[in-house]
Parts: sequence; structure tokens; C-alpha cells
Amino acid sequence: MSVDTAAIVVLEIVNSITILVLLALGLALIFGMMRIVNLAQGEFFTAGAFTVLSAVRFGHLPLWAGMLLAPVVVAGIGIVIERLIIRRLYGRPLDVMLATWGVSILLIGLITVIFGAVTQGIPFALGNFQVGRYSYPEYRIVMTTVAAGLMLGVSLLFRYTAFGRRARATIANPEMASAAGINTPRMFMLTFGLGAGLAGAAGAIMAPIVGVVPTMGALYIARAFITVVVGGPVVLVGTLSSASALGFIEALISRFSLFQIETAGHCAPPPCAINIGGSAFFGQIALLIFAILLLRLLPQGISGFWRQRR
Amino acid sequence: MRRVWSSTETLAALLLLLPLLAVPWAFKPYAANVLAVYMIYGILALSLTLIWGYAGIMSFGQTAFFGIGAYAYGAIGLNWINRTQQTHAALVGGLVAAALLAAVVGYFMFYGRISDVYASIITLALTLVLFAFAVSTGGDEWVIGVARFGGFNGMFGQGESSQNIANFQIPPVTVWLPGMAEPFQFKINRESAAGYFLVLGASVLVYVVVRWLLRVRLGRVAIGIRENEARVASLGYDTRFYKFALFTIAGAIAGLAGILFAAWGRFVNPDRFGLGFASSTVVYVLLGGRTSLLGGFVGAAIIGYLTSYLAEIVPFATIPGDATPWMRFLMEAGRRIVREAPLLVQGAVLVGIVLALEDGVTPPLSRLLTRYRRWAWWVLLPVVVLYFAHRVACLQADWCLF
Repeated sequence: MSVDTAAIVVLEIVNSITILVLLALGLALIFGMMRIVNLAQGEFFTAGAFTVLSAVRFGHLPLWAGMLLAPVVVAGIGIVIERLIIRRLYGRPLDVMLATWGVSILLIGLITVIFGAVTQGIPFALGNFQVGRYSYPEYRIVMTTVAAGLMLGVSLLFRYTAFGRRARATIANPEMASAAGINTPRMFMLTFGLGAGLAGAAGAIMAPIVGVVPTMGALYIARAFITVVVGGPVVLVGTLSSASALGFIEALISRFSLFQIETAGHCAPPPCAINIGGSAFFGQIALLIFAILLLRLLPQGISGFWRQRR
Repeated sequence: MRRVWSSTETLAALLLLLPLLAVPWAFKPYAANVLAVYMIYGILALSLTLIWGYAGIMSFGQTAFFGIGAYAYGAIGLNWINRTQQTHAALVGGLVAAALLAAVVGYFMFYGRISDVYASIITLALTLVLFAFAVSTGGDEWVIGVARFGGFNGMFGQGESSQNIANFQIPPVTVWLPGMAEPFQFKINRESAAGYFLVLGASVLVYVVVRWLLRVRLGRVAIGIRENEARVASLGYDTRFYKFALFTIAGAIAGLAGILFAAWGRFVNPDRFGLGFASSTVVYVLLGGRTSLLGGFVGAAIIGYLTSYLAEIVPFATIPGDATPWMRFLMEAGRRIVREAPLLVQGAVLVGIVLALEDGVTPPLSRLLTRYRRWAWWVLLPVVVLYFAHRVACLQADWCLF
């Protein structure tokens, strides 16, 4: 393998990891901190993308302003949903899951009512750069930078700010935290809002490179959940490590899995061969299979495994 | 000995079965056609009730087994129908494919001791990945014999007839047993309601089998697992095996529903793996009641009727040119809301039931029936029987009172 091919493969792996981190961060936060499986997370992602779309198309704002606006708007939506629905269901994990699924379906319906069921694109002006014989989109580098920034920001927020300390106390022991004067319902609300906002940011960042359509959340939610499940209970370390492992597999399989199988008869024209693999889809299949195998070995996820070892 | 079958249950069975048996003669074929698909969804929902309501495993992936059953039936049926004139192998193949997939997934989930919440997520991911797979099979290379997967367009057969390429549909369930002069097709149309009775028979059969399963050791242990898994395990039961077995059986039942669906519509497309279908299945069970075996059927019928009713009232009228902007806006908004009504209704039902009515509608209904069973026996049942007798007489022999 020549140097430029190797460089492109590395870049593609980094891109896969970036996308998984972006998708899973908010979900991991809500799941890890609040033990809530939020099935509406995919629609928060969609809402972020549509915020950018409407800011650019109807508000005539520049793209970056729309992208800054999206997490705020989506965090607001998340907080409203927490106050109206999820608040009543704490301590009933399966019911929360079903209710958030209902919310997810309702949001898809509402977004379709407002914007229509058509795929829309967001134009942006960034080109490609050359890596040896290959060209590579610059925007992917921007995405990686933003993902890293979000990880760092969340880590700093929970480690060094008063909000972070209170939130962690609330998660560790709600009654004790409440006795110590922390407004725990408010902490849950803000944590949920933060998780929703992160999904909104992910949707905003990815909006220019995907088709913006009301059902887009469903395309990504499966991978996000797999990443979170494989990551295990520790939010940041788990997300990063599982995104790395899964992203690595996904990118490699997507690139290097082109098999040709000769088929006998029943097709035209005669030299019949099935090309299997060599597409993003097979990367995703590999990701699912790898995740299921990994969970067979490490039921607590990667970070749970390391926690047990210590 | 405990009474297995209460008089209320006899009453409920009569109230449901007598009208259902009369439907093909009492209404136009359209009614039988629609009721058949509600019952097919009901069977699918019953498979979810079995593992969710009784073993406590929430699976978003029953539709995956449904879809696999449907695709396997389609692929085998298309290839064999012209050679053997029957679909026996397709029926078996669909069941086996669904059970096999459920067994593999169940093995990894339950022997991996994945917690309940993770299990739901993995089943959801399975459906979505299968959706992505089914969508990406549009190309010419995705062909099994004469059966084309067809990507978004769904599965159909393609063969050559006198140098033209002809498309044909998935066959209905076709039986040709040794003693029979010619193959028998279970169709639903003006002449025949055999397909309807096939689905009705399958529903009753599955209901009876599941009821029996829940009374024997497998079902009793499953209910124990739902109540307290650690205690059941400490009594010496291998809870992993019981969950695995029940999950596989539920997968096979979902696969049966898929087979019936493919044979009913003579068609299957990737939507069966989609999020929308997965969510409607959960909605059927939740609305009908997740602890009642009939719940899935009730939920499927209610939602099915509601969505088709809402679809009918889509305002087709064009917006008049002299309407004020506000009127225009309101009419357009109303039209769009009605168009998305199935989604909005499903979402609202999910949220509403979780927040307000945890048991669904079937348990309160059966309580009502138990409480007023005397009235139901002597008033409701005769009224229902007379109504359907009149419908049959009216439609078949033109003896109409009103």
C-alpha cells in the first residue's frame, strides 16, 4: 500500500470515528447520567439539521450562525419534552423508552407537517484538498475538529464547573444531593437539555453533507445506540473508545470488503458476478455484527470492562 | 382442578368469532380483505405480547422476523410455484428463516446476559440494518432464481414467456396435497374467502398455542422471570434458556404473520423493516394491553380503522382562489396534518398510554364484560347475532328490513 492510500484510509477511519462520536455523545450523556434510553434522540438530530435549513433558507443567516443556533433551539425542545413528559416517568426505564419513542414519532410527524416529506440540501462552500493521488473533502476536517471540541467541552463542563459538580452529585445520589441543597429536578432537566443540544449540534454539523429529510434521524439512531451500548457506563471514555473501535471496523470494511461471487445462470447479461461489499452499507453491517460479538464478550461494554478490571 | 376456560371467555370467544365467521357473507370482499390484514398484524402483535407482556423482554425487532418470514416465503414461493404448483416449501422456509434469525439473535442477547434495555436496542438496530439491507437490493445482482429483491420497489418474480420478460407476483398460499385433484389457492376476492379463513384460522391457532405455552413449564418460568429473574435463577432454572426459547418461538410466530402478509398482499417491500412498522406493532400491543393475548388484535383493529378512516377524510377540495391568506394557511395546515395523521396518532397514543392508561383497552373491556356478563349473554350476544344474520340475509338474498 502506498503512502497516500494509507493516509486516505487513516483519514476515513478518523471520519468514521468522528461521525460516531457526534451521533453518540448526547445519547451517551443522557443514558450514562440519567439511565434514560432516549429514542427521540434521532429526531433531536433531525431538528438540529432543520434549524440550520430554516435559518439559512428562510432567515437568510450565514451557515455558521445557523449551526450555532441549532443546539440552542434543540436544547429548548429537549427541556420542554423533559418538563412535559419524561419528568413524570423517572424510575420507569421501559416506560420512558416507549414515551420517547412516541415523542420521536410525533416529532417526525410535526416536522413533516411543517417542512414536507422532501429531501433538501444545504449548500456550502468548502472544497477538497489533495492527498497524493486522492482528493479529500475539507469539511470532514472541520467535523473532526468540532467533535473533538464538543468532547473536550463536555469533559471540562462536568469536571470543573459548579453545574458539572452538581449534576454529577445528582446522578451519584439524588436524595443526598437534594438534601445538600441541590435542585435535583432542575439538574435532570438541564442534563437532558444538554444531551438534546448535543444531538442538535451533531445534526447541524452533519446537515450539509447529508440529505435533510424528516426521517433522517432513523438512519443514524441505530449506529448511535450501538456505539453507546458498546461504550458502556462511563460517558466520555466509553463513547470515545467504542466509537474508535467501531469506526475503525466500519471504515476498513467499507473500503476493503469488495468480493466478487460468480453466480450460475438466471441473470443477464451472461458474465454474472455479484459485487458484495465495498459500500458504506457493508461497513454498517460489519459494525452491527462486531458490536453484537463484542457485547457477547463484554456485556458491560468497553468502559464497564475496564472498570471491573481495576 | 383450576378452571381453564371461564364462561366469560366463552362469551368473548362467541362475540368475536361468530361475527368474524360471518364477515365474508355479511359484507363486501373489501371488509374481509381489510380484516385479514388486521388479524395478520394482530398475530405479529401477539408474538410481541408473548415475550414482552409475559417474559418482560421488550423487542422492537418483531418486525424483523416478520419481514424475514415474508421475504423468505416470497423468494421460495416465486421459484417453486411454477414447478410444483404449491407453496409448502415456502411456508416451511419462511417459518424456519424467521425462527433461525430469532434463535441467533436470541442466543447472543440472552447467553451474553445483555440487560433488558440493551436487548431492546439491539433488536431495534437489527430491524434498521435489515431495512438498509432490503433497500440496497435494487440492483440486477440481487436475484434468487426468478425472484428479484427489487430494493424499494419490493419483491417480484421475473421470468421469460415467449421471449418477453414477464413480471409476476408472490403467490398466495397454495396447497396441493396428495389426494387433491388440483392445487387450492387461498385467495380473498369476489368468489372466494378462503384466504380470509386461512388468516382467521391461523389467528385462532396461534392464540390457542400461545395460551397453552403459557400454562406449561416454559410459560410459567417466563412469567417468573418477568416478576423476578434473580429469584427464578436461584431456584435452579436456567433463565437464559427460557428467554432464548421463548424469543425463538415468538420469532417464528412473527415469521408466520410475515408469510401470511406476503401471501395476502402478494407483495413485500422494505417498509416491513422500517421504523414506522416497528413502532405501529408496539403501539398495537400497548393500546390493546400488553398483558392480554387478545390485546394485539384489538389494538391492530383500532389503529387500523382509525388510520384508514383518517386517510379517507383527507380534504380533496381545492382551495378557492378568493380565500384570504389566513384561510389558505389554515386549510393547507389542516390538509398536511390529516396527511400525516397516522404518524401523529401513533405518537400520541404511545405517549398518552404510557402517561395515562397503562393497561391498554382490553383489560378494562374484559372487566366490563365479566361484570355485566348476564346482560352480555342475554342482550349483547343476541343483538350481535341478529345483526349479522340480517346482514347476511340482506346481502345474499336481498331480505333487507332497513
